[in-house]
Amino acid sequence: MNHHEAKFLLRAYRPDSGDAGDPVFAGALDAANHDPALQAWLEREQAFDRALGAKLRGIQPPPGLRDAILAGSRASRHRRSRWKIPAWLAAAACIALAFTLFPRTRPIEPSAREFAEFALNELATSGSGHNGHRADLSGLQAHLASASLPLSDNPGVSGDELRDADCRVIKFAGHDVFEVCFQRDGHWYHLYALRIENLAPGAVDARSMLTSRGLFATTAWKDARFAYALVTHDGAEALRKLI
Amino acid sequence: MVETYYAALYRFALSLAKNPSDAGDLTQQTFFVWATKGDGIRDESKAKSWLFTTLYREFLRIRRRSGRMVAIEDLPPGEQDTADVETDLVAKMDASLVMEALQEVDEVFRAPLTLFYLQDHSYLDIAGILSIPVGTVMSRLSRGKAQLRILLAQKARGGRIIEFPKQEASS
Repeated sequence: MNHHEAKFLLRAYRPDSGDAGDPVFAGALDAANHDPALQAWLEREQAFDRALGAKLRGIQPPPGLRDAILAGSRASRHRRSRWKIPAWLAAAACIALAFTLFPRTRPIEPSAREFAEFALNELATSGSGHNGHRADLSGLQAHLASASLPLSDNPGVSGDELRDADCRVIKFAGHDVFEVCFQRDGHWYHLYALRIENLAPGAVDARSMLTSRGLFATTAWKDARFAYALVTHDGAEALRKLI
Repeated sequence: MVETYYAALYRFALSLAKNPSDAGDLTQQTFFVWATKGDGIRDESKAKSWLFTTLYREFLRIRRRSGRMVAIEDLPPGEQDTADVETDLVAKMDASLVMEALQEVDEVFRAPLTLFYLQDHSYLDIAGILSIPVGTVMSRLSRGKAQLRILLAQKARGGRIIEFPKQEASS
């Protein structure tokens, strides 16, 4: 092994680390042990790496970041934990509770905020399997991509249109939610629509509520027929442009 | 998990995103994805790699949208061993100046370099996080260090920073 090869390998060798036992470095370390010039180079390199590593580790995250992360993680974990209960157990618990508390069955009536957070979590957890922008939705997508702003004043999407367009449908608290994904000004947006009768009576107009978790951001509003949640994965600023 | 890794993830994000606001967003985003998808991972070493991998993928996703990617074939030669920066000089430099120099290293070298200097990551970890072959990690560390030395020397002298030629590729 010549100097050039040994140096190439040893530049990836971490000082004060478990790399000493890694056979990949054995030959290069052995060469350094028998070559004072290479050994001196290695010592300089490691001293440099230590100094640089110490400098980088001295950079502190901004105050408040830790708390913001913890708050966001708690919120999402709380939402998710509701859906981790096995379906049969959740159903049994709901039925038992309904019979205990109410003489008649009452529908689950979520708030606008819960709907917005559901939509955000839906997008965040859907991963690569997410497909809300099928080819046959192009008319609806084009409409949303150019609809007048703010979108929350009049998304101009009818229930019939959503149903007829064969949108992706997901369930929220037992109710159908239609989803349309569209692109506008280089950002992807995901519009979720829930029939208004499935939202809690008196649920507030949530336009002023903008929730973000990292780069995910969501808001919700309603009109006479639907409650809408709009979600983006491109940050709160991208969402503000539309509402 | 947050207590253990948020600071290291933030530093990694800061080197990639180049500004504290985006770095904070990337770090939050990573833990949000963790809370929704990753908290089933029990092995701590796997969890650590998962967090750094997730942060890097989020960064790349945003980067792709900005349409500013540098193809590896376009990179200038970086194998230089001439810019010898004294360790004492680095020790005396302000941490923000060191980060500034690191942020000016070409992006493909910067990610492995930052993971390397966060010290808990071996070349094998880095290969896994960045999804690149081990040999490529070695090469990028070697060339990245050479670039970083040049930039640090310039910063230390207070001289003008000469940008490495970059060729923009279509997104």
